[in-house]
Amino acid sequence: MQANQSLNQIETNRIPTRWRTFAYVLWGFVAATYLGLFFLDIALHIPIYASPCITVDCNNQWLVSAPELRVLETWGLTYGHLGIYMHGLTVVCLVVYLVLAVVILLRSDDEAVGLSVSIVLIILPTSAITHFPFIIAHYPNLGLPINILSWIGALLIALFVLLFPNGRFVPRWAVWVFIAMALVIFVVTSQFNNFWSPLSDFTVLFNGALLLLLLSVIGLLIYRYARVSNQVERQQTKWAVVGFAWMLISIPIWGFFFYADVFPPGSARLLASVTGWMFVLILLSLIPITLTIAIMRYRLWDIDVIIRRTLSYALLTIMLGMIYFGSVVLLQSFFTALTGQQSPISIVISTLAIAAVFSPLRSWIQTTIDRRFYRRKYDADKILASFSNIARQQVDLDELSAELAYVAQETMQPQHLSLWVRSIYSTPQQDSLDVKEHAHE
Amino acid sequence: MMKSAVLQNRSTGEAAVLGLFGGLWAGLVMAGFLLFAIVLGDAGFRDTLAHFSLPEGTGLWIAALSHLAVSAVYGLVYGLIFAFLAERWSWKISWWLALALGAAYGLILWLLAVYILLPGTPYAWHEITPSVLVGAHLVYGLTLGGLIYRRRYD
Repeated sequence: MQANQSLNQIETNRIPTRWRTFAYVLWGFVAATYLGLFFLDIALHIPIYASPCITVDCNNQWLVSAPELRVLETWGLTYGHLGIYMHGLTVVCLVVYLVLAVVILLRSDDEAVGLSVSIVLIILPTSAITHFPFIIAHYPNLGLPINILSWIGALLIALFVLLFPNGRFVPRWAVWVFIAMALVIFVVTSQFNNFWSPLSDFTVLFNGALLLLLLSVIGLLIYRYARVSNQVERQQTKWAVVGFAWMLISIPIWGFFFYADVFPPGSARLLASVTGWMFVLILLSLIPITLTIAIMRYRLWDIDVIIRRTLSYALLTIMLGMIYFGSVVLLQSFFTALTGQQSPISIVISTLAIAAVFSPLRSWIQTTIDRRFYRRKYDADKILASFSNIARQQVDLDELSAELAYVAQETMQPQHLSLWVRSIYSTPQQDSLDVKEHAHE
Repeated sequence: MMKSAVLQNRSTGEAAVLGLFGGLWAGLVMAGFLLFAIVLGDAGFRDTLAHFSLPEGTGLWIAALSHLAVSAVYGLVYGLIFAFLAERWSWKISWWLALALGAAYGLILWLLAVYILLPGTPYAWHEITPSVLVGAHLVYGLTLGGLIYRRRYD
């Protein structure tokens, strides 16, 4: 029944017939040119990656210097193997995006949201990886089309954010925010691509305007989520936000832990490059997955469970790390004070302490998160736990029946509730008299 | 105000978790007290922070995290001790007794730190005025005692 209610809450917003052909042609044009530029970029970079970087600054994530080459040789690998690995991972990530973009397009049923999500799934990875100024430097004639294309791409992403999840501008004046973004993004992307910069004296002004517009878009998203979206749309929004949040988190994590420049030349830098690139691409692949779920399968998945678990296990990891670190420091101090030297026993004891505290800590964190953010679930759990206690102690049938009715009311909130208590001595006719009616408003 | 409160049935694990979080909060309060007390004294803010830094150029963040981690572990131990006292002795522990137990625990930690644990370490703890260090451990113990009492008695 709940699924049917959810289905009824979905508002379809199909593209008007007169615009449909134009929309699909635009989709095809943008997708084809973005993919074309992506592969052109790879083709232009192949000569650079063909020979190892030895003389120039090798801080680029994709290049390796002499010390890394020596490490590769000790692993029995060549520079070519590394190139295949790095490019192969990128292509796999792109394929994930493309496949899901096509699936959404085929299932979109001419809905504006489906179309915008599928094109965004093509623009996002290709524009993130393709180095447009590099292509323009090789082919100056492509400057104008690339500039227009990157402008259209940025606009489609902005449009997607403003239309998601029901394909309408909310509130209606949000369309003016979009128009303002179109103007500002055109100037900013032109300057970024080093193509056209007549307003370069006003760079700060335009960057400031873009920042303001982005903040207003965030405000509009929050307004839409809090005031306008129904339950299903909120679930869709949560899925989308989870995917983009992972992307935003991945960037600083990569910068802190995997950026090659942080490590000295050699095996550490090589490992950071290899694992860091895989880490970023895995997290980037979550965006199309969460968006696809938001569009197509949100009724079958419970995003709240994933958010709750992510929160609780993240906190749990931090707390366990803290206990481990703290207990090792303390125990080592004890051993040093008592015996004059450190002892590995402190690590054993710390590990055992973590194992002992894992379960109660997880349970406590989960309860706290439920109490703070998922009050309904927390209350239901609390009521069921309380009933379980009463059921063990209560012997009066009427009292127990009343408690059971209360639990059903508080946890499931039915409109009507009947409880049939069958006596082992009664006839079927008498049974009907034992039905206790509990009607609720 | 808490005299009519009822002792909650907690498992050993729950008692440890209560102590862990209590210790974390108490560690934060203690750090705040130390900063405040030292800043009010003759040292500047930068010098104050330097007391918490570890040797060999270890960052202040690591020092602060170490302090919190150790506070949390001490809190965990106190949570277990308090659970043992409350259940085995079947006392009707009052608010004041809980504070007194916490304060005593803080003082024991201070003795442990000054006479056993810290002398062999390269920490700059000896630059902190002794009375401030005692006060900080008392604040830690009182906060911990109060928090654990509140959590265990609803």
